[in-house]
Amino acid sequence: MEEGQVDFNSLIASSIHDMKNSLSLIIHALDERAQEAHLQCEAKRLNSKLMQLLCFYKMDKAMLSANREEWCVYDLLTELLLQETPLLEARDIEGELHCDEGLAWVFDRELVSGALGNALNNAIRHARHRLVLAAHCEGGELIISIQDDGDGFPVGMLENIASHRQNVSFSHGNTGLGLYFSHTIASMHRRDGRTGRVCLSNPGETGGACFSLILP
Amino acid sequence: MRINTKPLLDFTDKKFLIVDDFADLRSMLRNMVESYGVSEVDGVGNGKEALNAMERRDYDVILCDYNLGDGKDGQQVLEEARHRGFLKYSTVFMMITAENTKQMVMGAVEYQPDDYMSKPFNKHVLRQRLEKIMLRKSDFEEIERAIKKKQFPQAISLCDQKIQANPHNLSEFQKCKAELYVETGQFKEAEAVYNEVLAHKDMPWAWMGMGRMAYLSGDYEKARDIFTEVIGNNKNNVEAYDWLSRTLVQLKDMEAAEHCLFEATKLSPKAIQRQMVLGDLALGNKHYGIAEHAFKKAVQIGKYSIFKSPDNYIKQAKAMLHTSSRKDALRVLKKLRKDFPLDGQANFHATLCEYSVLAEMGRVHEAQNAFIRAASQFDKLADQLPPELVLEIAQAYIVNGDKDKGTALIKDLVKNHHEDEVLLEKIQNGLSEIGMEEEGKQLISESRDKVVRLNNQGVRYVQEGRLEEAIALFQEALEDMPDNKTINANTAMVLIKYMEQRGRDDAYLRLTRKCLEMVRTSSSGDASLIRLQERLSRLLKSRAA
Repeated sequence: MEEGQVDFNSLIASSIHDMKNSLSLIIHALDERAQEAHLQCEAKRLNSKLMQLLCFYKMDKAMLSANREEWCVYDLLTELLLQETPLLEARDIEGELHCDEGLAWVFDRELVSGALGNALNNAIRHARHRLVLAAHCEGGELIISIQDDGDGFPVGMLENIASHRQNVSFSHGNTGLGLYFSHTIASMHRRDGRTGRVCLSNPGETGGACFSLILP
Repeated sequence: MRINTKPLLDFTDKKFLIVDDFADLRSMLRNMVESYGVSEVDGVGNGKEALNAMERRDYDVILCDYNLGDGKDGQQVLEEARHRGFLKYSTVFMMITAENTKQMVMGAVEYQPDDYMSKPFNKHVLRQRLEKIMLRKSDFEEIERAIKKKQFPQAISLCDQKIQANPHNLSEFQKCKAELYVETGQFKEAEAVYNEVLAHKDMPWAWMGMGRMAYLSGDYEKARDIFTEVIGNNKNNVEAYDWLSRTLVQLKDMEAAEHCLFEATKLSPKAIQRQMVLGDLALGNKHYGIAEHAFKKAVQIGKYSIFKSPDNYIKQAKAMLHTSSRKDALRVLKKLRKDFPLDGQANFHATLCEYSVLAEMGRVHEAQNAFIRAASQFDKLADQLPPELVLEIAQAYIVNGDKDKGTALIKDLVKNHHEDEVLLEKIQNGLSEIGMEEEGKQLISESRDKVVRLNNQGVRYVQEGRLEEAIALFQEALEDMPDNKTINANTAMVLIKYMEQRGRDDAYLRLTRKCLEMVRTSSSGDASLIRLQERLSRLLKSRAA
């Protein structure tokens, strides 16, 4: 009984390894070419989706669990922005970071950075000139937000999230799936009866969309 | 604020090693590294070449892919490199993975890389990660140096200094301080550190620490509850499974202990040591199918591992005697000889196991031949063998008619390990198996009492200040039972006491060191051992001054 499952797992692991290698090479090559920014964006998206797929597979097999350790939030956000540096430069978007350098929190680094990377990628696609990554601690929770200066989320989507995620519509394609993914990651972080969550808003004053990940 | 892409550290004089089986990936990584101004970059395509390179050259940074195709994987490269001392403290070992789950590739705690990075990443991110690790390492350098010299109190006070400054990596120093308390047997103090951390933050490592403290102080129920809760919060925490399993063994719930490790091996199937422990538990529980599978797996994974061991073949063969693969048991032993061609002990063990497999199968004549071969190999190796093997050959001697030789070997075993309850139980079971239950009991208690009496006499001499007599007694006892931990520790104690009073003596110093080394190899974290080591180094200092 075990045999079959183990084999399929290693099969997946080895396919992922190959795909990640190819993606690494593609993204690396595109990093050097500013004129191919849209391809860069697509490659990143492919990578995000691949990771999501793997997470969903593991969730299905009840193999996904948050590996909580303490991490420096500033370092995490810096890395996320650095990962997008070539793309930001190519699109002439200014990335800003608002976070206390000493801010540390307990969470699963890989999962959270996957969820944020996905949101950041979205934000870059919609941003005009400016993008802000911010984190602070409020009421015993960590709030990480990504805000762009684009057109903001479609109203329907904000309503959707307000009425909870059970009905996330996959027909809108990636946005719904990405959101569902972030929700899943957030809700795997629990502490003292509180559960992590995702918030979407169009804050108005600066325009654009704001994605927030809130971790207890 | 805009993020700063300006480097914090200068990498230009750093030596890099890139390990990846895929040439394009190597040149991509080389590209990134060269963009930092690094000129010395070596690249290799497999684990064996990586180890050769590390043996020849001191690298500052090693970027190693976990998945290296056939041969060693990244974890095995790391384990062997650490084991063989190829890595300096300051060397950064970065494990590059395709998957996000480090638990899957993680090995034993003492063999962890400095960090994991999942693909894809760009040169900016890699640089930032490497800088952070280097800064952290230089932060810990002084503490590590003290630890390396075994100056534990010094290391703890260095941790305190750091903690007082309240840096943003505060918890790393707290963790280190707690580990140092554990290392030196100060469990109450360690627990206090964990409690303090948990009062502010819900840190899984601090919970693990609390669980370990409960375990080490013998409160196994509490330990079980803590580890169970840690797993409840993160069912991928393999380390917690290891500890829970150990705890369950102490609580004598062997079935649950086995099941717990079985779950852990599903999470990290490539961790060889875990497979071995699982196999042992399954053998004990007579779950031969699981045992066979675990040892077979350990043999497979072991192929390229520094932890490759003949025992796994032997135990696989023994488990197979009870499963449907019975007829292949001898083939496993053949493979053992082939895989360890120059290892005399492995060869002897294989012969001995052949003997018992053949005997079990009722092939009497062949079994007898195997025993004769085993006996002649034993004569050449006797002093170097682990107690379990000696027990096995002793049983064989007795069964094959040489009872005197067999019982003499058993007596020696008991004398050398008179406080090792686990081994004594094995000996008793081994003797019961061959119909010597009552005789065995008597034999064990007589031999043990003899050692206890002798040791008590020696200790009494020390208390009465008759040090010369005590020394003579312990030296004679050592001749008779060179591997006995208590006798070694007490010999060292009396010699140190003697030198503290009468001054240093080179021959005694040599013997003291030898005795302490002997104690250290059998139990390194022992509190009384550490006290003796401290007394010895004080003694050396005061005489040198």
